[in-house]
Amino acid sequence: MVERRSLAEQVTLLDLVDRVLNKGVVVTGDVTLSVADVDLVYVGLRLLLASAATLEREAAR
Amino acid sequence: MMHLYAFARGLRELEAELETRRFGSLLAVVGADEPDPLQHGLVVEGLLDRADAVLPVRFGERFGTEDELAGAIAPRLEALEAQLDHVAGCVEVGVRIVPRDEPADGDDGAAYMRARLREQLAADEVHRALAVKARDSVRTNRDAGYLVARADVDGFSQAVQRLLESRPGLDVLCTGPWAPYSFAAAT
Repeated sequence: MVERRSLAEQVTLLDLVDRVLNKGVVVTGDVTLSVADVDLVYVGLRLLLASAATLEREAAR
Repeated sequence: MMHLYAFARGLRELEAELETRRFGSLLAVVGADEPDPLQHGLVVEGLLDRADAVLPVRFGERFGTEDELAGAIAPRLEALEAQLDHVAGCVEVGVRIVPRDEPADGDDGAAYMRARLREQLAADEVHRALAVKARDSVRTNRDAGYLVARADVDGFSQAVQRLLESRPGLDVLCTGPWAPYSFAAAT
Protein backbone atom coordinates (compact mmCIF):
# COMPACT_ATOMS: atom_id res chain seq x y z
CA MET A 1 0.00 0.00 0.00
CA VAL A 2 2.84 2.33 0.92
CA GLU A 3 4.60 1.47 -2.31
CA ARG A 4 1.48 2.07 -4.34
CA ARG A 5 0.91 5.47 -2.78
CA SER A 6 4.47 6.62 -3.44
CA LEU A 7 4.13 5.52 -7.06
CA ALA A 8 0.93 7.53 -7.38
CA GLU A 9 2.67 10.55 -5.90
CA GLN A 10 5.54 10.22 -8.34
CA VAL A 11 3.16 9.97 -11.28
CA THR A 12 1.30 13.04 -10.10
CA LEU A 13 4.52 14.99 -9.67
CA LEU A 14 5.62 14.07 -13.18
CA ASP A 15 2.21 15.01 -14.53
CA LEU A 16 2.41 18.37 -12.80
CA VAL A 17 5.81 19.20 -14.28
CA ASP A 18 4.72 17.93 -17.69
CA ARG A 19 1.69 20.23 -17.62
CA VAL A 20 3.69 23.24 -16.54
CA LEU A 21 6.24 22.79 -19.34
CA ASN A 22 3.98 21.79 -22.20
CA LYS A 23 0.59 23.37 -21.59
CA GLY A 24 -0.85 26.65 -20.50
CA VAL A 25 -1.19 30.12 -21.92
CA VAL A 26 1.82 31.72 -23.59
CA VAL A 27 1.75 35.50 -23.97
CA THR A 28 5.30 36.21 -25.10
CA GLY A 29 4.81 34.79 -28.58
CA ASP A 30 7.61 32.74 -30.05
CA VAL A 31 9.77 31.38 -27.25
CA THR A 32 12.99 31.95 -29.18
CA LEU A 33 12.16 35.67 -29.55
CA SER A 34 12.11 36.15 -25.81
CA VAL A 35 15.56 34.65 -25.46
CA ALA A 36 17.23 37.98 -26.15
CA ASP A 37 15.64 39.58 -23.10
CA VAL A 38 16.14 36.72 -20.68
CA ASP A 39 19.38 35.77 -19.05
CA LEU A 40 21.14 32.74 -20.48
CA VAL A 41 21.17 30.60 -17.36
CA TYR A 42 17.42 30.82 -17.25
CA VAL A 43 17.03 30.00 -20.92
CA GLY A 44 19.31 27.01 -20.46
CA LEU A 45 17.20 25.74 -17.60
CA ARG A 46 14.03 26.07 -19.58
CA LEU A 47 15.38 24.28 -22.63
CA LEU A 48 16.88 21.54 -20.51
CA LEU A 49 13.56 20.91 -18.84
CA ALA A 50 11.42 21.09 -21.96
CA SER A 51 10.26 17.72 -23.16
CA ALA A 52 11.59 16.25 -26.38
CA ALA A 53 8.22 16.87 -28.02
CA THR A 54 8.36 20.57 -27.22
CA LEU A 55 11.90 20.89 -28.53
CA GLU A 56 10.89 19.15 -31.74
CA ARG A 57 7.94 21.51 -32.19
CA GLU A 58 10.12 24.55 -31.60
CA ALA A 59 12.73 23.23 -34.02
CA ALA A 60 10.09 22.65 -36.70
CA ARG A 61 9.00 26.30 -36.65
CA MET B 1 11.96 40.48 -13.06
CA MET B 2 8.40 39.21 -12.79
CA HIS B 3 7.36 35.63 -13.28
CA LEU B 4 3.82 35.16 -14.62
CA TYR B 5 1.91 32.24 -13.06
CA ALA B 6 -1.68 32.50 -14.18
CA PHE B 7 -4.65 34.70 -14.96
CA ALA B 8 -7.50 34.65 -12.50
CA ARG B 9 -10.90 36.09 -11.70
CA GLY B 10 -12.65 36.26 -8.35
CA LEU B 11 -9.44 35.81 -6.39
CA ARG B 12 -10.21 35.63 -2.67
CA GLU B 13 -6.73 35.47 -1.17
CA LEU B 14 -3.14 35.30 -2.30
CA GLU B 15 0.08 33.88 -0.89
CA ALA B 16 2.37 36.55 0.53
CA GLU B 17 5.05 36.29 -2.16
CA LEU B 18 2.57 36.83 -5.00
CA GLU B 19 1.06 40.00 -6.45
CA THR B 20 -1.61 40.79 -9.01
CA ARG B 21 -1.89 43.22 -11.91
CA ARG B 22 -5.28 44.04 -13.41
CA PHE B 23 -5.87 43.92 -17.19
CA GLY B 24 -9.52 44.33 -18.22
CA SER B 25 -11.45 41.74 -16.22
CA LEU B 26 -8.31 39.67 -15.62
CA LEU B 27 -5.93 39.53 -12.75
CA ALA B 28 -2.43 38.52 -13.76
CA VAL B 29 -0.77 36.67 -10.88
CA VAL B 30 2.93 37.47 -10.77
CA GLY B 31 5.84 36.97 -8.39
CA ALA B 32 9.37 38.31 -8.08
CA ASP B 33 10.85 34.86 -7.39
CA GLU B 34 12.38 32.65 -10.04
CA PRO B 35 10.49 29.42 -9.43
CA ASP B 36 11.44 26.05 -10.86
CA PRO B 37 8.73 24.24 -12.84
CA LEU B 38 7.52 22.30 -9.83
CA GLN B 39 7.16 25.46 -7.72
CA HIS B 40 5.35 27.16 -10.61
CA GLY B 41 2.93 24.24 -10.83
CA LEU B 42 2.27 24.19 -7.11
CA VAL B 43 1.52 27.92 -7.05
CA VAL B 44 -0.96 27.55 -9.92
CA GLU B 45 -2.66 24.56 -8.29
CA GLY B 46 -2.85 26.56 -5.05
CA LEU B 47 -4.76 29.31 -6.85
CA LEU B 48 -7.41 26.85 -7.95
CA ASP B 49 -9.03 26.76 -4.52
CA ARG B 50 -8.83 30.51 -4.01
CA ALA B 51 -10.37 31.87 -7.19
CA ASP B 52 -13.55 31.54 -9.27
CA ALA B 53 -11.54 31.04 -12.46
CA VAL B 54 -7.89 30.23 -13.12
CA LEU B 55 -6.17 30.18 -16.51
CA PRO B 56 -2.71 28.64 -16.08
CA VAL B 57 0.31 30.14 -17.82
CA ARG B 58 3.07 27.91 -19.17
CA PHE B 59 6.31 27.90 -17.21
CA GLY B 60 8.89 30.39 -18.47
CA GLU B 61 6.95 33.64 -18.99
CA ARG B 62 9.16 36.29 -17.43
CA PHE B 63 9.11 40.05 -17.81
CA GLY B 64 11.73 42.63 -16.98
CA THR B 65 9.36 45.54 -16.48
CA GLU B 66 5.68 46.34 -15.93
CA ASP B 67 5.58 47.74 -19.48
CA GLU B 68 6.83 44.48 -20.95
CA LEU B 69 4.12 42.57 -19.10
CA ALA B 70 1.40 44.99 -20.22
CA GLY B 71 2.75 44.96 -23.77
CA ALA B 72 2.58 41.18 -23.95
CA ILE B 73 -0.95 40.96 -22.56
CA ALA B 74 -2.67 43.93 -24.25
CA PRO B 75 -2.90 42.46 -27.80
CA ARG B 76 -4.21 39.16 -26.40
CA LEU B 77 -6.59 40.51 -23.77
CA GLU B 78 -9.83 39.55 -25.53
CA ALA B 79 -8.61 36.03 -26.26
CA LEU B 80 -7.43 35.61 -22.69
CA GLU B 81 -10.75 36.82 -21.28
CA ALA B 82 -12.62 34.41 -23.55
CA GLN B 83 -10.42 31.53 -22.40
CA LEU B 84 -10.95 32.45 -18.78
CA ASP B 85 -14.73 32.54 -19.35
CA HIS B 86 -14.52 29.06 -20.84
CA VAL B 87 -12.78 27.51 -17.82
CA ALA B 88 -14.58 29.50 -15.12
CA GLY B 89 -15.77 27.30 -12.28
CA CYS B 90 -14.07 24.27 -13.78
CA VAL B 91 -11.12 22.01 -13.08
CA GLU B 92 -9.36 19.54 -15.32
CA VAL B 93 -9.47 15.80 -14.76
CA GLY B 94 -6.78 13.81 -16.55
CA VAL B 95 -7.43 10.28 -17.77
CA ARG B 96 -4.65 8.12 -19.16
CA ILE B 97 -5.13 4.72 -20.70
CA VAL B 98 -2.26 2.58 -19.47
CA PRO B 99 -1.42 -0.19 -21.92
CA ARG B 100 -1.65 -3.57 -20.21
CA ASP B 101 -0.70 -6.04 -22.90
CA GLU B 102 2.62 -4.61 -24.04
CA PRO B 103 3.92 -7.09 -26.59
CA ALA B 104 6.56 -9.38 -25.16
CA ASP B 105 9.99 -9.90 -26.72
CA GLY B 106 9.64 -12.32 -29.56
CA ASP B 107 6.13 -11.24 -30.49
CA ASP B 108 5.90 -10.61 -34.19
CA GLY B 109 4.88 -7.36 -35.83
CA ALA B 110 1.31 -8.48 -36.39
CA ALA B 111 0.86 -9.24 -32.69
CA TYR B 112 2.27 -5.83 -31.88
CA MET B 113 -0.14 -4.10 -34.22
CA ARG B 114 -3.10 -6.11 -32.89
CA ALA B 115 -2.20 -5.08 -29.34
CA ARG B 116 -1.96 -1.45 -30.44
CA LEU B 117 -5.32 -1.65 -32.21
CA ARG B 118 -7.04 -3.14 -29.16
CA GLU B 119 -5.56 -0.40 -27.03
CA GLN B 120 -6.70 2.26 -29.47
CA LEU B 121 -10.27 0.99 -29.66
CA ALA B 122 -10.53 0.76 -25.88
CA ALA B 123 -9.17 4.30 -25.51
CA ASP B 124 -11.66 5.59 -28.09
CA GLU B 125 -14.52 4.01 -26.21
CA VAL B 126 -13.46 5.40 -22.84
CA HIS B 127 -13.00 8.85 -24.31
CA ARG B 128 -16.43 8.89 -25.96
CA ALA B 129 -18.13 7.84 -22.74
CA LEU B 130 -16.39 10.51 -20.67
CA ALA B 131 -16.42 13.38 -23.16
CA VAL B 132 -20.21 13.65 -23.01
CA LYS B 133 -20.00 14.19 -19.26
CA ALA B 134 -17.52 17.06 -19.49
CA ARG B 135 -17.88 20.69 -20.56
CA ASP B 136 -14.96 20.25 -22.93
CA SER B 137 -12.28 17.68 -23.65
CA VAL B 138 -8.94 17.32 -25.40
CA ARG B 139 -7.18 14.13 -26.27
CA THR B 140 -3.80 13.03 -27.47
CA ASN B 141 -3.70 9.30 -28.01
CA ARG B 142 -3.49 7.75 -24.51
CA ASP B 143 -3.97 10.97 -22.59
CA ALA B 144 -7.16 12.93 -22.30
CA GLY B 145 -8.11 16.00 -20.33
CA TYR B 146 -11.68 16.78 -19.33
CA LEU B 147 -12.95 20.17 -18.30
CA VAL B 148 -15.37 19.47 -15.46
CA ALA B 149 -17.40 21.89 -13.36
CA ARG B 150 -16.04 21.86 -9.83
CA ALA B 151 -19.36 20.62 -8.46
CA ASP B 152 -19.40 17.72 -10.93
CA VAL B 153 -15.96 16.30 -10.11
CA ASP B 154 -17.31 13.61 -7.77
CA GLY B 155 -19.88 12.52 -10.31
CA PHE B 156 -17.23 12.45 -13.03
CA SER B 157 -14.81 10.34 -11.02
CA GLN B 158 -17.66 7.96 -10.20
CA ALA B 159 -18.33 7.68 -13.92
CA VAL B 160 -14.64 6.80 -14.44
CA GLN B 161 -14.91 4.22 -11.67
CA ARG B 162 -18.01 2.63 -13.20
CA LEU B 163 -16.31 2.52 -16.58
CA LEU B 164 -13.36 0.69 -15.04
CA GLU B 165 -15.58 -1.82 -13.28
CA SER B 166 -17.45 -2.56 -16.48
CA ARG B 167 -14.19 -3.09 -18.39
CA PRO B 168 -11.88 -5.23 -16.26
CA GLY B 169 -9.31 -5.53 -19.06
CA LEU B 170 -8.53 -1.84 -18.95
CA ASP B 171 -6.01 0.07 -16.87
CA VAL B 172 -6.83 3.71 -16.50
CA LEU B 173 -4.99 6.33 -14.50
CA CYS B 174 -7.16 9.20 -13.38
CA THR B 175 -5.43 12.35 -12.08
CA GLY B 176 -6.60 15.69 -10.78
CA PRO B 177 -8.43 17.84 -10.20
CA TRP B 178 -5.88 20.10 -11.91
CA ALA B 179 -5.81 23.71 -12.95
CA PRO B 180 -7.15 23.57 -16.53
CA TYR B 181 -3.79 23.58 -18.37
CA SER B 182 -5.09 21.61 -21.34
CA PHE B 183 -7.72 24.27 -21.97
CA ALA B 184 -5.30 27.18 -21.80
CA ALA B 185 -4.04 27.54 -25.33
CA ALA B 186 -1.10 29.53 -26.54
CA THR B 187 -2.45 32.86 -27.79
